[in-house]
Amino acid sequence: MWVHTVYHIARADLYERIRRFSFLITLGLTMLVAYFFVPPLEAGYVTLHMGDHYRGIYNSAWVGGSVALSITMFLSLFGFYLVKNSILRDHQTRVGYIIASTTVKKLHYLLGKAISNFIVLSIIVGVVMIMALIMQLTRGEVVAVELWPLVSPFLLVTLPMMSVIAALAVLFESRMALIGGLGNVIYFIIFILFNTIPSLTSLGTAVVTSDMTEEFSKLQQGFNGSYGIGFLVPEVPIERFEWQGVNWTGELVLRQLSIFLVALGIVVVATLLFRGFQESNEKSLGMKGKSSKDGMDSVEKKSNAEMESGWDGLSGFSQGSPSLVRASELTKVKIRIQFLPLVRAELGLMMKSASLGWYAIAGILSLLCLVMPAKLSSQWLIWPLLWIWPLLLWSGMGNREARYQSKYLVVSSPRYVIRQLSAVWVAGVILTLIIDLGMLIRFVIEGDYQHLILAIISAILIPSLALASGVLTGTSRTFEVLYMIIWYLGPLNKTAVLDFLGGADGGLNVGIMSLVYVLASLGLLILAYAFRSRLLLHS
Amino acid sequence: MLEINHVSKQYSTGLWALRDIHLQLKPGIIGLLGPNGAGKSTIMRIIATISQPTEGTVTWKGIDIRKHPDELRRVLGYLPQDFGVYPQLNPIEFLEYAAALKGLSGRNVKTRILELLELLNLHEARKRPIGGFSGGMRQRIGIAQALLNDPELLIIDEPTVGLDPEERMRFRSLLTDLSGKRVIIFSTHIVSDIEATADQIAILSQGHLLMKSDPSLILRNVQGKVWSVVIPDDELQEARTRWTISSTVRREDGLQLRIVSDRPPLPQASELSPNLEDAYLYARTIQEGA
Repeated sequence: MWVHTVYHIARADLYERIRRFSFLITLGLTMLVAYFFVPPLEAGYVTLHMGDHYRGIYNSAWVGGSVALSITMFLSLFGFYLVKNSILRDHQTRVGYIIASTTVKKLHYLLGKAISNFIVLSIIVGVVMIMALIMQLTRGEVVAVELWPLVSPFLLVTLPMMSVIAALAVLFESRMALIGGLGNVIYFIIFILFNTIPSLTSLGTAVVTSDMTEEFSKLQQGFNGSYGIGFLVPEVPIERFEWQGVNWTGELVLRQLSIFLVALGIVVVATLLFRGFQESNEKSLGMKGKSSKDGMDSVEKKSNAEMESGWDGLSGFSQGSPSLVRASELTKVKIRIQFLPLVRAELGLMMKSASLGWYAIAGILSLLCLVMPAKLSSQWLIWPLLWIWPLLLWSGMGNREARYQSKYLVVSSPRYVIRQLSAVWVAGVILTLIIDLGMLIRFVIEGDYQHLILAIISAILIPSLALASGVLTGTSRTFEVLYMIIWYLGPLNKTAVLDFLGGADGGLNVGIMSLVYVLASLGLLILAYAFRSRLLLHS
Repeated sequence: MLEINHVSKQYSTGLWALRDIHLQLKPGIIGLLGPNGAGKSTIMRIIATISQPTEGTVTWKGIDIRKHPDELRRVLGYLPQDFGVYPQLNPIEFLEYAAALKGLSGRNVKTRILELLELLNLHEARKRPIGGFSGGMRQRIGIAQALLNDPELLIIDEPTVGLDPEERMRFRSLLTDLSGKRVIIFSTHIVSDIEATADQIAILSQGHLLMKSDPSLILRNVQGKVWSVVIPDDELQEARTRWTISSTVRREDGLQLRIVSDRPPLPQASELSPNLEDAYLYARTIQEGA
């Protein structure tokens, strides 16, 4: 009986996802990514290397193994964000109310959702697996296809790991606090930790990497066991060695399959944390018709009930009571279509979404930037931290109408594409400049005009990116994920091309960077304006 | 004032939501009546400049609103059927935001907002986040935002959904008070809402305009075509297949049916005074039979 329930929960959720056009786009993008996972020798980059510059010959084992590891890493981040919305959808569509009124158990519900997540990720993995076969034949280094060495890493490494990602997505939807941007940030931090702490890096994928390093060490005396996954450009010409794949013993297979039990354990933990679809939970989602805070106190409920019982004011008005307002006698107002009041309103709306605690921390960070030497602020990561702190404020730009179903208000207002979108953008830039004011003043005090210019241009670039992401995708998640990656690689890890704060050693010329960022901002804004008209077309 | 000239709307799926709608509206209240899926919301979205017709034009004071939508948007108040609000804002903040979007400014804006909150009995709740409001209270916020710019054209889609009977009654009074020099279009599938307020009634069904007239003329159409008969309980199923039944009332001696028919359904049938519900059913029956 419960199997039947879980099956139908998973099936309905799966159909809802894969019948969307966006899923086809996701598959298309995945195929593109898979293409880049198997670069030709002359491409100058590798996606998996042993030592400094060795990669395997493109036989079935290496192509299967390397692509499986790459897609595992890729989907561990993007796959999570892709599937982490199935319980949220039930909240938003109010299907949750129907579920809450049935006898379905939380474990069965969450298990169904986790299975649906897993199948979505498995379909993507399946597409990549086929692409791996095509890429082996396309590259043609070894044309003989050996099916088991090619597919076994996907089946025994990637899929078990995807079950964990699927379960984690459910876990991160089990608590209201984790459903939104905060959960996205926390998961990103966890992902970074798993990819930077050596003992955690190869968890789940060690069975393949250890076999590769073992094989390579037989060829290279003194090999220290180092390897790398990702898009890497070795400083010396790439050399090749032959790897025949993992010898899958019964013990190894069982060990890999046991990862599914870990996923099941995570679902059980999620069940313990999940509070179902009670109204008080719904309210903290800040959804249509729901409170932004957890529950209402009894006084508020009483007040609601009193006011619902009738429009006392209207009753009086309809009887012509002189003390009450009449609809026909309301104060007249003038329409001036001014821009600044709308900027003020958008800024207010943006700022309203943050708590007092948020402002307190932003203020402290900004103050520290003002009183400390600029170099020290950068070294102690205060300055970079100030550039991730407004993440959830920026990420609301351009998609608020979609999230709160308020597009009617925007679309029926005069010159909404240019006027309203520009107001949101200006508000975003002003907010960023206010938050960064401490550091901007510091730069002026220190006479560091190069960094001052970069900071001001970044205050234009990042809201532009947020606006374009929000308008294009109608969700805050795109910007959150994209910006977290940029921020992690750029301001935090000083990757020159992404470090928009200009802190990287040997970074690019400030003039060139400024020009690139200004042009990028302009391009993003044009994109946002162009796509904004979809609000009308989709009505 | 507002002219809807042979408007049709086809969705990308190929489905025609509207076919050749032609209406001329003058100041007053026009009620759009029709079953779910009749095209009421579609025509309202087109008039509100949110959607565009596949064929035909809509003009406001002679200006094509497709070419110059802002000419209408300046004087438009629109309340859609499904609308959202920002839950963290209180009513004043939300209405101030809506006012800024509509291009309203000046000292009078705040005064008007407070008056609207008073009018809609939301004054007491003016400083509480909208997120905690009930459905009826949110509906009133929606009405308030539609009235912010003192609209010359007020479009309200299913405004009484979510309102209790008393609230509905008060809403009707509000509409009557608002009418005058403005055009008010409101849609509903609750005939009594329209009966109580509308100067003109347009009946839509399956994307077609069945008729547009004032209530008295519509009632005249069905004069002498409404009957009352009493049948045994177990004959109801068969009666449904034979006649258009407007309502049923259970009595001691069986079921009293209110039937809309050109001829007396049974020899013992007695004639009744028609109401709008009967007229609406009659119009639909004719269309289905055509």
